[in-house]
Amino acid sequence: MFKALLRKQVLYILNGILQDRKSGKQRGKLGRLGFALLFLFLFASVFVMFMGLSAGICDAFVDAGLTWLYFALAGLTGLVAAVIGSAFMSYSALFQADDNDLLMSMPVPSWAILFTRMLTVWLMGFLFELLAIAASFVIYGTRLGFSAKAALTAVLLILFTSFLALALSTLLGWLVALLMSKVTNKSAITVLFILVFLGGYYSVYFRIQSILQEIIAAGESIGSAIRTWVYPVYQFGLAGAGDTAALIKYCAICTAALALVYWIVSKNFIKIATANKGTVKKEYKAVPLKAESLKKSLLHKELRHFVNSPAYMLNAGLGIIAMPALAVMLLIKKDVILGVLQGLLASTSAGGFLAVAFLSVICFTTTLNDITAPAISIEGKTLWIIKSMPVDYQDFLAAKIRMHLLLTCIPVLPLIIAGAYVFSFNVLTAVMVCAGAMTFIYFMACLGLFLNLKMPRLDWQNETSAVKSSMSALICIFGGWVLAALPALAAFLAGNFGFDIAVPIQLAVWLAAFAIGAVLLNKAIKKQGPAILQSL
Amino acid sequence: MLKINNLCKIYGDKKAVDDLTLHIKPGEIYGFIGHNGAGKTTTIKSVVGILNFDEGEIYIDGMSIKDKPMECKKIIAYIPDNPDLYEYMTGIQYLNFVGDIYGVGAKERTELIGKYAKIFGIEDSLAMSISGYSHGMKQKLAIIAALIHSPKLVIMDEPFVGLDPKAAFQLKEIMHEICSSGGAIFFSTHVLEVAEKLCDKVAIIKNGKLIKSGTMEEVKGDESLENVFLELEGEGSERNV
Repeated sequence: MFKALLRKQVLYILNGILQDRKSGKQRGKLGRLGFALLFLFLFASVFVMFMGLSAGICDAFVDAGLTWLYFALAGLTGLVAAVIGSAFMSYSALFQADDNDLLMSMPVPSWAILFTRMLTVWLMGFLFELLAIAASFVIYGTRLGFSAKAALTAVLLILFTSFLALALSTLLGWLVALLMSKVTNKSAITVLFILVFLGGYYSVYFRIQSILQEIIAAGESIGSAIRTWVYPVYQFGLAGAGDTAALIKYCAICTAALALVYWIVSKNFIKIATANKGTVKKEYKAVPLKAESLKKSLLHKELRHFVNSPAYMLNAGLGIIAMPALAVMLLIKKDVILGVLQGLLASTSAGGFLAVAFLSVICFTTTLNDITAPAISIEGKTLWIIKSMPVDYQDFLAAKIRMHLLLTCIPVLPLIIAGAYVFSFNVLTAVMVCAGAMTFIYFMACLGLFLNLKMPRLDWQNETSAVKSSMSALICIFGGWVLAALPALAAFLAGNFGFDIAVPIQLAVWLAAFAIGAVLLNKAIKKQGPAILQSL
Repeated sequence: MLKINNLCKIYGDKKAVDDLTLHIKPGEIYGFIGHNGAGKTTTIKSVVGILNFDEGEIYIDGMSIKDKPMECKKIIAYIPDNPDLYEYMTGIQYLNFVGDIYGVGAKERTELIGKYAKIFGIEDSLAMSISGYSHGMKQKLAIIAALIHSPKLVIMDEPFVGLDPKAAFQLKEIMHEICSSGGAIFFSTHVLEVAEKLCDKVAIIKNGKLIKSGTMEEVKGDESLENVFLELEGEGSERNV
């Protein structure tokens, strides 16, 4: 029985990769190879990013005799990445799966249901922390040599850290579930709870530079703080530096933490999973209804879906908050930012680097909104409604793009205005940066929708998996980062190779490139979209 | 009103619907029966334009669903066997959305929603989120949504599943109303007693092929529809033993 449950869960996870969603058949060799290559590329990109972070601090810590602290920070980064990566899905994956009623009606013990559900959460966290911790060991190895013991230590630390991350994510999911069983406005409370959690995370993240400087300047005192307050991380650090006793202690701590959380959650799993999910019962009082045009009505449908789905808002619309927040930060930290930039720009010969780099920053921030990337998947089993109605599929698809534009183009404006003010752009530069950003947003909206049309996932058990685990969303996020970085990278290289290209020309080139991309994708959506939708 | 000519739908190497031909005239209630997996839902989904088909033609009020899907969909209504509706909307938001899509005037939709919501007894629940609806309430909502644009042809897949007896009775009354005003009904069912009492004509499908069709008298003669169906399915002898 347990094996069957486990097989079901593994099949559900693997189906996203191995199965063609349209035909329901297993992918061919070429399809599997394509997916494997794509995964590898995405993994490699993030791995390189973590390697860069590790390389930046490794020598300083090792030279200062604080190797354990170097590993402790890597462990902490891995743990935070894993918890952030899996926490959003733990509530829905553990307690809100569509097959809850089915499984609970069967002679299946609740511990087995919980255990197999936790597998999905574990896998998501594991993928995130694997990259962070492995990168720290690789960098350390390249500086001080590789050994079999270090490799075994790395494997054990990665495995047991994933257990600790799973314990923390499960605990967070359980707390959210407990809260949800008490409140009526579930969407708003879920979003608020997770935003507070995220706020805490990002406040630490943005202070990471000064924290690192403090650590390097006063390594021993910070080290003693870690020893006292984050004992498992301390043991992780010692184990990474080669202390076998610490490794055993760390593995024991992680196992104990997971066992404790599992015991707590399994005690009232059934009670929470079967808690009354009823909504507020309001009596309807008939009022004259208002008619809207078809296009407006489709847009309102999309907006209603967005604001009523915490999973959709949090995983695909964080930019709505992040962009204005960044604008405020830019204004508050104006002097500090300008000071840092003056130092940096003195070392580059790229005349218009700042404006182009700012375009990259804006584009990068807008990729936090990947609203169209899961837009087809989240229709799930309701796709029949649109397909059976006299709706032109072009209008249906256009409404999804319009929502992406609405929820991204408006929040990005404060950031553009703040940047233009702080960096004293002239009117032409400001307008060109704005146009470039808007075109990029349109391009990404089309890219997300096109990819989701090609790779939809309609058979999900909970909406979070449709939003978070869809391949189109992953490509849009990571691919979006790469595309967003291109203007700055090109400007930097052009400057270093002695090409003095005027800022308006550079901005115009990127505007044109994004516009051409957007037009081509839009054409592809118009040409292929209706047929794909009809085939789903 | 509905002409299905030589319809074929193939999944892989299996013919789900094989050379099916059916004609439904205005004023007719046409029942569609068959075993599980016989091809009923595939046929219905092809008729309403959800599913592409491989061969044959489907005409609705003289228009091909392949060539003029929008025009066809404007005059038909579809009620699926499992009403997965937009759970992020309230009942009234969903009905209003459907009204917008079909271009039903504000005054007309207000009246029709009020009328049907009262008939099916969900007028007090329309402000509730659909996620809080029971299966039966969702089914009622799907039926109301299907009726607010006054369709000429109503296509239903197992419409009585999940309905309470009163709602089932009301639905039958509405079906008669639609037919008496020149519309037509095409629906699948496993409840043979309902089909026998309600339908003017009936078609029996087996493994994707039409095995018998015609008026109720032509199909069943002096026997019960259940007996005829079981005999045609090859199970009649076992049952009689």
